[in-house]
Amino acid sequence: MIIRKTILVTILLLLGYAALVRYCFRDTTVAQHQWQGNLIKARNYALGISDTNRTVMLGSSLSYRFQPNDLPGITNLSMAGMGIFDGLALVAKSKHRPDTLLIEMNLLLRPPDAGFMDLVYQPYAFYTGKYIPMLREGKQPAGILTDQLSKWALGGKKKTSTDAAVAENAFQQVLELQKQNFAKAPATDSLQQTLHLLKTKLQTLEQSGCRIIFYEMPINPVLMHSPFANALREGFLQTFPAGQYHYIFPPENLRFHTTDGIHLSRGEVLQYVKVFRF
Amino acid sequence: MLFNSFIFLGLLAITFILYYLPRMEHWQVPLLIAASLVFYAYSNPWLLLLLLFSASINILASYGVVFGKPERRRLLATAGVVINLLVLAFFKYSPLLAGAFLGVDSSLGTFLLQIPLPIGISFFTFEGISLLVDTYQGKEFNREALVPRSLSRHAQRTLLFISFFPHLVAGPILKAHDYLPQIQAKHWKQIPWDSVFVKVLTGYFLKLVVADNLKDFTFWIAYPYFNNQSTLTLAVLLLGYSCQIFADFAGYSLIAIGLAALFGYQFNDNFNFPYIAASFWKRWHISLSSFLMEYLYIPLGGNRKGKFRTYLNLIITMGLGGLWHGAAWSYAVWGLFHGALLAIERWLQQNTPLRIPASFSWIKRVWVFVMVTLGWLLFKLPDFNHVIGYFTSMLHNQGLAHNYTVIAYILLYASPVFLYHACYLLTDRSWGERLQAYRYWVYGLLLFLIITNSGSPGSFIYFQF
Repeated sequence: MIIRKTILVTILLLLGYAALVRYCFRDTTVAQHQWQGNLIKARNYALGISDTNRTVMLGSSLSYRFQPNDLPGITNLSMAGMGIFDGLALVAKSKHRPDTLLIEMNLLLRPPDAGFMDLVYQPYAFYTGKYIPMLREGKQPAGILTDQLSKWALGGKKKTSTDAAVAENAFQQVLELQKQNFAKAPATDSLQQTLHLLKTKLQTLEQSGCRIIFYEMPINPVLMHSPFANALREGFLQTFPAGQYHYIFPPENLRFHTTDGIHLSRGEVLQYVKVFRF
Repeated sequence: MLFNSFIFLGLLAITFILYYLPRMEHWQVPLLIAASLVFYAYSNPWLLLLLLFSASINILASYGVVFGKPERRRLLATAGVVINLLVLAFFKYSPLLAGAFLGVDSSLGTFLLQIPLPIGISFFTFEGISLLVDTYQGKEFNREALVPRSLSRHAQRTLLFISFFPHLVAGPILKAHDYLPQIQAKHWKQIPWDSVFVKVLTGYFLKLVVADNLKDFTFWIAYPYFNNQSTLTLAVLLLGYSCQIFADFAGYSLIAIGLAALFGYQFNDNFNFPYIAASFWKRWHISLSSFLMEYLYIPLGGNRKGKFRTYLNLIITMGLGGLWHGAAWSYAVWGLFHGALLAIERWLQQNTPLRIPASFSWIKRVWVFVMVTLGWLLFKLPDFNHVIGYFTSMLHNQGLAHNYTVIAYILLYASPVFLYHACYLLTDRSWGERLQAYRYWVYGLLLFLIITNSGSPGSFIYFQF
């Protein structure tokens, strides 16, 4: 008896929520956290329901900080916690082929997430998401509810207050760790192999007329010319010569403090998009 | 194979249909064993060899204990327990010991560090030990009634006891004297459908909606991310992890109990609303704590050998219980922390006149919850330096801006855990009982949220143990 009643209640709730999504939240998509943000981006791209711009950006959490309106005309497939190879796999599998690919250089060595593509194309979620909008990741009730409540409570303004000294102390601790990570150049073999792999993957796209542009995201000045960053830059320039490929490097006159040594703050992102030209 | 995978649902459906087909009564046990072996071998078939080896040792040793020469019983039982522990030690603790004593430079150290941890080994090893101790002691049952004369029948029953898929990889830890008497022909009409439905539904809700969503926020507890989070954010993250680990493991246990009931087997409860407990270990992972009590604390002397030995026995039992969870010193520290708290609590009870009045018992419950929650950090951050770093950040980061997004979502996803406990408190109120008549609205909401609001798939935390 309890089973039958429970199923009836569930059907009622599903119908009600489907109507709510259809009539009130048709254009609302909420990513509750970065991982979900990755999945929403990737699945929307795979389903062809996101902006299908002819220019696609592939990167890591560094470029993830660009919001959709920051770079008009560009579909940002940067994934937090992941790297360019995840985005490349997505582009390669998708029917939608870009004219221009913007490829972030900073975290080249991050390997692809083994289970991510399986998750994006997992049949149940993929097809229910395709045909039933309320079952898409970005339409989860908890996300919609929290988003509406925060808009109502904050009126669109985020209140933040930080003790500058405490913030600087916490920042210095993380920066110290980043300095250690960037102090040593990556192993030459590993770097060469990864660059070679990237070249192989890009060749297929280039043959179909895709233009490749490499770009470097700004990081804290103390890391910008570290052995790690220099080796990466040199590796790119050797494998993809500047005469044949277009590069975008952060202007030397602009200095970015960042939130943790490598990620730009929102204000810095807005500052950087003004000079991000290709 | 995970309970939250489609392949598992397929295996479950096929097994269930075949199990209750007419004239399958004699094949029910072999069918369950076959399904369990497929379940276990799905991701790595080689692990079957270890499972079958462990089962064989326990089958032969327990058979020898019951039907062998009486003067050899002790020897056989002891040898069986020692082999079980050696297998566990080799696969689970070799990397820890190699790292501590041999280092990565020696070839033996490198070899030991690379030994993979077979899934579920801690659980089926303890179940094997339970079989040997139970058959040797014969306290709870008549040995001959539970261990049949036919070795092949005994082997079949024991293999089912050890490998039955609902409990195989993450418990609950079964005891031979609870499970073996239940092995008999099962009938469709005996299935307690409502109970199965409620347990499985609640279990999947706790896992898919609560734990799987919380895990994507508690991720920020990891080093070095915690360094630049505010004190409040860090405290809420810890609260979130406390709720996540409960939802993950209690959810798994409820699914296991529900699925076992679907095949006619009854498992004891593994969780009894632990976060409102005045005595945490009587309500958390009950199958492990009762195992440790029966097979370790009492044999060590329990509370029969004076106050000091009682405190020591508590600390040893909990320290080893902590180490059972994983091959890292932080787990041992976590166990010792709990052991020390239990010893202090007992000392206070015995040596101070202070008694908390019943109306203020909530103070103790809150205290227990806070201590338990702080202790979970040792689970999340296996490096002890990072644990210290986390608490240091909690002390120093009061001036940082709070991460309200993370805080809001954690509180939202943790709320079902608190409501779940609140429901338990309300059951003895008359209006609480009246509300029970409408509980299908709650179950309907749970099912709705499973369909629309599940988190990204994640393996169960206790699989790693």
